[in-house]
Amino acid sequence: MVSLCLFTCSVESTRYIMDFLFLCILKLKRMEVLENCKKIFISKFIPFSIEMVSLDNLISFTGNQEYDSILNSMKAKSFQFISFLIQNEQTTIPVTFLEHLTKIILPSITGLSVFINEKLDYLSQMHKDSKEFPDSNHDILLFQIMLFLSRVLIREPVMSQFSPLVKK
Amino acid sequence: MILNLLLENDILAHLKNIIAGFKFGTGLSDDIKLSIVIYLKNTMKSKLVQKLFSKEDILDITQSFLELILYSTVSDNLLQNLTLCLTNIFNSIYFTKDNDLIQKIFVFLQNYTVNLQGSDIEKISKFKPMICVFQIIISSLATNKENIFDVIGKELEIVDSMILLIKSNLISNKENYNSVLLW
Repeated sequence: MVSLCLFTCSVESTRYIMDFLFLCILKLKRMEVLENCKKIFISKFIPFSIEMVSLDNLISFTGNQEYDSILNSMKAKSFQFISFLIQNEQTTIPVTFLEHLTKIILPSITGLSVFINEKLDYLSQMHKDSKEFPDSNHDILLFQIMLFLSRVLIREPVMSQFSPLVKK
Repeated sequence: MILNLLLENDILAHLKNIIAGFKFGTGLSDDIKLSIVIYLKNTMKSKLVQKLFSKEDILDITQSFLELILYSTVSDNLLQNLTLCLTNIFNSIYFTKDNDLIQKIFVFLQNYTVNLQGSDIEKISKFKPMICVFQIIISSLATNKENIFDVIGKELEIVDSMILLIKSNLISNKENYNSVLLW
């Protein structure tokens, strides 16, 4: 039980860290100085956020509501941080950043497909009966995953740069 | 009423008494703690606007609030109100016009991080209030164009050390957690 407690405590702290990192880049963006230090965020914190979204299943659905809520919320914050950095790439995206992103694109698509195939009924019931079908931050995580996928698979500048990297 | 008079006379001395009471657990219920913090928050706000404190006082008061958040176990509700108190302080003219104050706050926070003791779980459980404080600082007017790189640099340095500890626990022991969860 100590292990599980340490795990949830670590995940919760990570959620706060991800929220804090997002606030940092938001403030830098508002002050129009994000470009000056974006590399630091990409090299130092993107690998960590990718490790965090890769932890366990993409969307946690163990039935333990506390565990699922904490893990899903932390992952949603990690995706939010990653998506915001992608969104702010105006012309070209650094290759190192793209390489990091490729590590989670396929797991995100696969995880999302599995979740939708197996839990669609649950999702449709979630907002009708919150007691029987609690939302353990599934909603917000699904939104952030789809936002991330739209950033990397549909929008520029990642879209045009992504294909050559995949071929390589 | 008594609390009102006491606070009006010397907010700093009584803030310290309250912190001691919170820290050493005088048996105050969460509701009473919450009402004290809300009262402090409202009293502080007007005094900050009127600039009734000296620089030394404001540094002392800020550190006292930080101690309250970092050293004692506070509920989420209490933490929320304490963060509002700190937000008011960091948005005040004391911090927006004097970069020296925020530097001193970072010395305090760095010392706190270095001196964190106990097992991994005890250390990691202290990260949440610490990050809350960082969030308040970064969102406040105390972080401006002149000091933003310095502030974020110092905060990220501490966050980096937190990440190291979290990673070693989350990733290296992942299988243990899974087995406990399945059990």
